[in-house]
Amino acid sequence: MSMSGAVLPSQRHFRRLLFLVLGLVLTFLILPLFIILPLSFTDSRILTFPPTGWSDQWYVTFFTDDAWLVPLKNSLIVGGFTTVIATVLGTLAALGLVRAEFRGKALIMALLISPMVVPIVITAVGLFFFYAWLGVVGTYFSLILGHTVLAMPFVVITVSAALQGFDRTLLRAGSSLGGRPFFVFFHVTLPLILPAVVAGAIFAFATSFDEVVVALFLATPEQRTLPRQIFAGIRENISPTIAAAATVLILVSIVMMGTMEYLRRRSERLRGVRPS
Amino acid sequence: MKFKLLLAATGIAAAAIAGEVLADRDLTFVAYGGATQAGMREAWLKPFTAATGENIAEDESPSLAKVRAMVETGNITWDVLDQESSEATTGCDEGLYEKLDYAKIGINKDDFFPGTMSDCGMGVYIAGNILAYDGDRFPEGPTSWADFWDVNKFPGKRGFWNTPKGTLESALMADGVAPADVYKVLRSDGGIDRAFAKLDELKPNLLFWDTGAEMINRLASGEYAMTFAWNGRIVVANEQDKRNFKIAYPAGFTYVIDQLVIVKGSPNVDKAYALMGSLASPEPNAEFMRHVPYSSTHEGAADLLTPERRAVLPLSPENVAYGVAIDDEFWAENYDSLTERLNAWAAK
Amino acid sequence: MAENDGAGRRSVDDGYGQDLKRELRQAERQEKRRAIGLLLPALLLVAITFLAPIGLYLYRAIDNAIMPELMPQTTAALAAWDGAGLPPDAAYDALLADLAAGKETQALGRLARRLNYSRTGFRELVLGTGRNLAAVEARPAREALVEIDPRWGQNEWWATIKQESGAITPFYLLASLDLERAPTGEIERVAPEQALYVLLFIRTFWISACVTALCFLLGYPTAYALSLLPARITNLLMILVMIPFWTSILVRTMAWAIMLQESGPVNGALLWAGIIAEPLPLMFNRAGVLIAMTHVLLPFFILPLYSVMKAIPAAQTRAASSLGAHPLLVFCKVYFPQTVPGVAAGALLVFILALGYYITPAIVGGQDDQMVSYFIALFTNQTINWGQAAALGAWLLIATFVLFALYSRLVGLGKMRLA
Repeated sequence: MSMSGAVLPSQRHFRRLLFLVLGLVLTFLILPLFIILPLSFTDSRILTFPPTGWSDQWYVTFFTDDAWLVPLKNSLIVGGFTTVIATVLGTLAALGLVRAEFRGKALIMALLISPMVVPIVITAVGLFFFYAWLGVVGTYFSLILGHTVLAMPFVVITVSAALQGFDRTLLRAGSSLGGRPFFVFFHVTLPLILPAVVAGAIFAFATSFDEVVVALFLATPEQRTLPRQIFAGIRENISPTIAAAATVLILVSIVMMGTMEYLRRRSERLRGVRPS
Repeated sequence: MKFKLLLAATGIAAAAIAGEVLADRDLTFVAYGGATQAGMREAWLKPFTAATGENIAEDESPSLAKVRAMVETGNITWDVLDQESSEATTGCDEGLYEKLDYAKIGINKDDFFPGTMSDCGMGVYIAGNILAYDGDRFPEGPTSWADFWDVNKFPGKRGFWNTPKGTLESALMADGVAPADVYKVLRSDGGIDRAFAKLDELKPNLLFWDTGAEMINRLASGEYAMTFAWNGRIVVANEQDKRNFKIAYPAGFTYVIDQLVIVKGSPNVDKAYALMGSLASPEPNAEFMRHVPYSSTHEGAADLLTPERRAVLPLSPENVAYGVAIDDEFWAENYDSLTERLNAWAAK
Repeated sequence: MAENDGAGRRSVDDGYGQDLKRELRQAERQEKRRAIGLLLPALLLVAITFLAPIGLYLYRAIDNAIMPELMPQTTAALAAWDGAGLPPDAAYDALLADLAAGKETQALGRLARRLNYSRTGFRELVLGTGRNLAAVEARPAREALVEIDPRWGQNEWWATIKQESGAITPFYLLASLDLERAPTGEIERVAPEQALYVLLFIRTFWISACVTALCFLLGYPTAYALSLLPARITNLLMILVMIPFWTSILVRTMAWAIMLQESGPVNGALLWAGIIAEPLPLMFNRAGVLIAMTHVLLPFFILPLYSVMKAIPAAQTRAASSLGAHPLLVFCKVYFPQTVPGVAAGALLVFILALGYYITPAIVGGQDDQMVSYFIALFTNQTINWGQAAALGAWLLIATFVLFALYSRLVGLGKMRLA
């Protein structure tokens, strides 16, 4: 069994190759997003790369034209209501899920999570016919409920994950000290799971703020959301304003991600877990 | 507490429904987007709003299917639509569009070209489905649909609108059929197969577009070497984006009447009638042509244009000789089955 | 008294255990009730605004109420017909009455469209007959109808009406597997030039499988490398994975649509580097779909795998190495098997999500790269064939749920983590 000739890569080569792949994959992941930034400052009406000159006119358009301001406002309204409803109902459901063992619990969990995995077109078309039948297509109401049901699983998952690692003796301690359930909830449970609830809320908002297919089927021009308007921009009226709008969406995503990261580190610090 | 939250949420939701259902909806106008809709906005919609104070909401991509869903569910969110005449007729047959009372619109049919007004559709403009290419890329451009099929002489992707209407006619022209004879061939035994066989030849280089903006953008980015196009968008792209796109009218083309229709059960029928009535005089129709050079259905409108503008219209005396009108009867009968066949053909 | 006392004490003794059990059971029940009470609002919301709409929608895959509704007399008259030859005169009378009624209510278009799905040509047959109904006058219905269109004198058109008479139909579900019912009732394949959907499902699965494989090839080394680096650096690099994860799918797809154009940066860079002489077609084809979908789904693979890898103690592989095993052997025999659960979880998730993709292929794909979701949207919006759309949706949903069940078996939904 001779090992001469070094046919197999040594560990060093192996590592070098590994980090090369890492670099390439990370470039692949991030580069397309960075391409949008210079494009949003182009002075041309057509989206080609690299830009021939620079201008901030597309941001001016984005922040002054009703064609973009109204969708931005709609996205904030729909996202806001979605976040509140999904977070409240999702947190309650997560509390219910960890509270007791009962038959059908797995099924209930699967049901609550299913909106995440059902192909979005099926959900969107189904909701369209349902709300059309109720006569509420083209209302904020239908869009908000549509987004809520898509966003709630994220809250359920995030909060129940936090509750699983949660010391239930604290609850009993709270109760045995005579705390009424609501008191215990607000003074013991909630502070402990609050980071997870906020994280779930951020997920819920992101889900609604980025969602396009349900909006495509349910929204009329009056409720058109930002992604829906970008989609229309790609299909009907291509201009670099969509690059400006996309940049805004990316920035919002980064802010949400930063908040999540901050929450995660904070909760680790509070629990005395060393940053891993 | 949780009950209070729930109650509050339900209350808000209920208030939202009530508020929105009861509120009056603005008149909603739906056309094919892009430069055409922008032209309508400037020439028709803004003057209408200025004159009446009625706001107009806009949407894009008027599809018969969406109208069908709206009418069947009584959930009408569109009012006035731009429809090609064969769709207007199909929708009329299916009871999706209001039968128009021309006296109520307040236009004199004699002011318009004959055959442009139908039971449900008020013809407003005529668009040419033409062969377009980038003059900078091919200074010695294609002159026929046969050239359009010749990827050796003119390398690159070809664009067609994702519909059999106009596509099959162009394929037959490429196969040597004179524009005037395309419907005779399509109606004959094996005529449709002949058109599809011709499309087979182009398939590796063919990419459908869904919207006018896609068509223009792909031509501009070089994705398309040449494309089946709506003549108005091509001219507007040259004017606004300093392009050098060319239209090969002599290759032969089809032209189609676009009509305004009112969705049946629209809560804004009166406003819709008023908007249509505002097009009774030549001026708004001429103004539309100044923005987008489609031929107006109003007989007097073209006279208000400069000779240069008149020359780029699809029905100008020089161009009209190469064109053939889309046969509404053929398409009313065959549109569904041929759309299905084209979808299946394209997807394989 | 004593007896009573005794009895009482005994009962207390006995009852004490029972009481405790009962109390415990009661507490448990109360706990369960509370749990269900907490779950109820969310469950109601999912049931009313998700399950019900989707259930009602999927019912359209078999819904055929339009036939008894628009042809009440014809369907009744054909019930007794044995399907051989031509139906009795009563059926012709019934057809005439139904068509006249349909014309009155402007419903003929809907009827014509429905019948045309089952047999091409029905649309013009019904609408053409409708237009000529005035010519019938007082003649017998059979004679008049056959004169208007001789097809009313042929068995196949009547057989189709009879076959599709019921309030529900397997037609769409069969059609979306390229199958149809022969007039005799046997199930057979449709003509090859009509066949599309089997190919479509195979394509959908194939694209999803390719994307999953690409995610594995790119994601595994990435997650591995990330798990080897010091925490400080990993945390920084993780941001590069997380930003795309948080960015909207639409924005990312649009970015690729710009990147992959003929005149886009990718072709520009390749041309500049002299790797290619002519721009490559990267968009509106399979390559574009695979690149963009892999980009969108890769974080879903990397993140769970990374957390699995992070939990594998480094000492283990070190121990194996120190015993003289070759690094590659250590990797294959010791390390890789422990990451299999993470790989399986990530791969299944990517595959399930990929199955339903719509926006990305619609924007960067060509016409022969579209997946099932595209056709659901197409049939809903463009061709108005809602039954077909629902049938495609039903099959797609079944596939998704089977995989989802597998996922919950394998991974456990309670262990699902985000980011």
